[in-house]
Amino acid sequence: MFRTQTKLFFRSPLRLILLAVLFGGSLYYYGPMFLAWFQGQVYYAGLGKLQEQLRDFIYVFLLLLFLAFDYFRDVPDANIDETLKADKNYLKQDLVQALMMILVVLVYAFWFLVMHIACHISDGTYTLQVLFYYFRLIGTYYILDGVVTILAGWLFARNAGKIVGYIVIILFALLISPLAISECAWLSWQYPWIYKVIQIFLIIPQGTQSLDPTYLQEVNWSIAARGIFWIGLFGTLLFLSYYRQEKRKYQKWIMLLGVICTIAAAVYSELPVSYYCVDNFISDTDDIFRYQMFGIKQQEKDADFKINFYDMEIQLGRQMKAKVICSPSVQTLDRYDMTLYYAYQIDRVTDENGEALMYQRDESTLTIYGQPDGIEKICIEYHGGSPKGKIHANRNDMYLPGWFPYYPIAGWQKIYDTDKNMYVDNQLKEPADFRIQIKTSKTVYSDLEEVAENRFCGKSEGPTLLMGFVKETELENGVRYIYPYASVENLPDTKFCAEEQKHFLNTLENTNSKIRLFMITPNVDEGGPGIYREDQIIDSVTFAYLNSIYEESGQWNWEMRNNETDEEDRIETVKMLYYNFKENETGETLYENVRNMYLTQMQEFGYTENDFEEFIIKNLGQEEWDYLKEAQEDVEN
Amino acid sequence: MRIKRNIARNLKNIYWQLKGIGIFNLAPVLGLYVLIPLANLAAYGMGHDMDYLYVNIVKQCQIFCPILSVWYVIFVLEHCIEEPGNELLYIRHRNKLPELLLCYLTFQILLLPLFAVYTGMFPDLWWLYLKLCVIQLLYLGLAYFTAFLCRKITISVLAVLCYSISTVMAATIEVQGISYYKVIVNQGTDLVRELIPFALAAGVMLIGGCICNYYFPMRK
Amino acid sequence: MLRIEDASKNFRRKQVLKGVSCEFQNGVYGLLGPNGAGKTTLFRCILNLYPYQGTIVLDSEEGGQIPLIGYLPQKMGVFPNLTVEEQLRYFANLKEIRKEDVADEIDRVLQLTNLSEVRKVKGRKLSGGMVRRVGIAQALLNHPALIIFDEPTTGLDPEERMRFKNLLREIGKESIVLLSTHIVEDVEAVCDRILILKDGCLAAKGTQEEISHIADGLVYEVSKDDVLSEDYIEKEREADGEMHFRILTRRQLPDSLLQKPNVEDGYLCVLKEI
Repeated sequence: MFRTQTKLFFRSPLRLILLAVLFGGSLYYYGPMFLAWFQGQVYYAGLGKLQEQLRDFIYVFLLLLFLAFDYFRDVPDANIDETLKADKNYLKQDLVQALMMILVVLVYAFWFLVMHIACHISDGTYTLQVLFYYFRLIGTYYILDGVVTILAGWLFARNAGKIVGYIVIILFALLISPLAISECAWLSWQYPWIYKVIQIFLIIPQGTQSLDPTYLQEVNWSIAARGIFWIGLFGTLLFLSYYRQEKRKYQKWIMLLGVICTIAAAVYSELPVSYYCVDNFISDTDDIFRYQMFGIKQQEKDADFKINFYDMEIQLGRQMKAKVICSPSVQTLDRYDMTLYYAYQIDRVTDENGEALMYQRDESTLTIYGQPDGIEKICIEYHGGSPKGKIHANRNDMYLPGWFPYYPIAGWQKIYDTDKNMYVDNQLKEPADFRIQIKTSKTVYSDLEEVAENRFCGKSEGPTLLMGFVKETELENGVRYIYPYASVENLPDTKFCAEEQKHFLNTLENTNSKIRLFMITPNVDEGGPGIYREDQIIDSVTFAYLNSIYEESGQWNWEMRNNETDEEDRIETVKMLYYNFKENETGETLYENVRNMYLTQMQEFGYTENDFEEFIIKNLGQEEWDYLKEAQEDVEN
Repeated sequence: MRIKRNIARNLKNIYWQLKGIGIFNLAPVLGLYVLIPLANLAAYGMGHDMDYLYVNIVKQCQIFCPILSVWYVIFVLEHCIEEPGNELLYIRHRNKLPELLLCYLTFQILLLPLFAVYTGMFPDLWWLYLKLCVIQLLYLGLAYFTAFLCRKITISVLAVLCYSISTVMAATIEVQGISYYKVIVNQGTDLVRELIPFALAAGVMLIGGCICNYYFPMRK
Repeated sequence: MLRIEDASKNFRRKQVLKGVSCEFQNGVYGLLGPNGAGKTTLFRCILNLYPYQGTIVLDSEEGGQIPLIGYLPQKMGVFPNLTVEEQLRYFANLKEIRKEDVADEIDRVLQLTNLSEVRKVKGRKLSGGMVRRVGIAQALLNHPALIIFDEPTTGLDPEERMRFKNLLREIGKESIVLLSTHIVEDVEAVCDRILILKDGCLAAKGTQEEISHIADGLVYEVSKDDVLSEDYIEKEREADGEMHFRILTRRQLPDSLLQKPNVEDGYLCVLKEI
């Protein structure tokens, strides 16, 4: 039967065309990779092609969907369905057809896996972690979604007339496509609850505009559950269609099982989860939206105590679950005002004896009421985290920067600075002792000293925790270098950064710098400060960027440079950035970027948009202004 | 006189062919007069901002109108290409383009009341209507050509869906070329210049479709 | 043996089969009836394609094993891209014919249906009659205990129809063959017993003679002037410049030529309630 199905499948010109487009189209991504191999070049810098493939996944989905639909329509179109149904083995032949389609899906997924792993091997970014990640990636998207397309095609082809089948396939394809998703995304600006409703339809990769090398595309059980939901739904409906005429004992139980699995998958996919995904949806925890647009009030209050010691136990699952024992410096206060990011939900607050303490929570503020006989230790248990932000923690990856109140800090502090459009640096004013245990099977990296597996101890103004596609190595002069290794740009001692790395290390040596740790962290989209301590640099920067900042300002912190420069320096910065933009961009993009950059840099000195032309002519020349205007006008024409 | 007779005949053909899809005939009407206005109202409800409403109208029309415009076309093509006994349809009048052009014109007429309301609010949206006329002709050509070339409407439906998704995605990553999707509406000669490539592509596809249509009964 | 007891089937509010009861042994049974009588519905109920009320049991003579059924529906096509042999292999697989027997079995049915010469021809190149014969061939695979043919001779040329009738006689010796057709001559040529369905009910059943006898004394050949409106005109023929009509009538016509009734006469009497 399988042989006959193979012939049936491959002898259709239409299916051959679709297969050619499916596999041939992927050469658009793999072609440059092949060329790079043959030319002896490492191609994979920037993970660009992976991102493009994930962005364009909708086309793979549609091709598989229509392929399945066409293939399963063979039997009704040939008027053989009635003959088949008279035979007790007709389900078997349909299952063999499904198996044929599954093979196509598996071959495509496997090819994807092989190509990308080969690229990672060739550019030196391959690890077992990467391999398992790609298994999860193809499992969640290519295989699960592939099965969804097969079941959808099967169901609509066999259980609806041809016209209705086409209509339902079109509607299903539109619902899953970026068209419907973009419609719901802009509606979510007004109605944030839409995300919760639409989530179950988000089975193709979301947030593919950027791919952070620390996490790559997020893949987790919550996302997989959406695919499982559709498989359960279509599978149950198919089962119903095949067995509705036969009264069998186990039929009801299988149906019930199918319904339970479908509902369970839907419920699981809606459970709170914390992972990185930059999509166009606005949710309740979108901080720019909350603080800039909604103007959520942020209370501030100085603390009348400090926390000397933190004993933290962090468990990673769908979200982070933490148990933090704080030792306050003053034990007899009536109340202890603290800050803990609002996305963390408090489970329990107890004292050193396990007795519950009264507390009040309002946004990110947490007030714990003291006991008459004082409190030695406060134990706070909480869970949660930002659902879709860079600052998140789950069983696969984690980024908890030291400047972020992912643990309770004394006083009521602002979380987000609406003037600077970035998170506030909430490092502790004085270092505290930290003991952190993270319960995970993966490797966590921190600025603190690791005393045992995923156990960190030390004094810090705020410990940073990082987990993902991260590695640590020791550079020439003993500097710890923690970096995201999935992208070649950050690999030490490679042609991509060897020179800049050497330059950086030389600068450290020449200036007798005490820097002993350089940790590259993900770039927070909402804007975040870096950590520049005497002995540490923890920020989303590269060797090259650090070198340029140091050359300009004699120190590493770009924020300080921005804060301390005068008007003349800032004009120089604008000029430098202008030429940078001119090299890399054209048209309206160039004009917009230059104008925005000018406003960002010069607004505080009283410059406005009306002064833009005069500023450019005065500082860069009439020629450059003409060039900019031409670029803008080119687009308008 | 003969033209009038042909038009009447083609209209009747379309009527009988589309009767077969029953209630789904209402899909373009529902799309144009329920879905798009609801989206516009939601946009207006967000901030009572007329500029935002304008942008929303432009976006929604460019996303939905072209897909809806080929709704009737696809099902007429299905009837002409995939139905058993369709060779009868090619005995006296082989070329199906007149019927499809009538479907296209029907949709353009259906679009008029909606745009009458829009231009009452924003007079320059007539340029959008003209733009959509050309873009929808391109979609018609795409559906017509692919259907008769491959002798199945599966490819037509897939091509139309992929193209409409591509134009929206291409616009978000600022890739010019295949995308007609813009949040501003060009006017006058700017619009003409913008639409020339699409009109040419539509012409090429319609001619290609005619050739494939001509040879279709022979290839069966 | 195939036993049908009080089989009924409703489609929404319309009752398509009403309490049909019958028993079938090996042999060829013809199912006659006008359009919409319920013939195809009855077949689909026997094949368990529709849920129904009543009992339909196909007993096995081999104790426990579900007997094989061969079925040729009214409309059946072929996969356009598979050859005749491949189509039959496909169906042979469905019917769980052992691998070693498949080739012989396919040769056998191809020979029975006179398709041996076109075994390598793809489905899209077959004529309508050949497609029908492929359908007949697949129904015969693996010596089924019950074979149902729904309008099997549609599209067959006279020679093939003759061949098919001979084939039916042969296979009727070892299987139950149910044949639904509008062509009464086919029924007369091969069927041992005939069932007449009318408005979902089993209006008559019996051998050919028994069905014919229903029209005893009701069939006349008369001239044009003797025909009344209450008579049912079966056929007309011209002889010696005059028109002669074969009619079915309750009237006693001593002056007219009483005809020996045939199956068609009996069928029409049942249908028209003459």
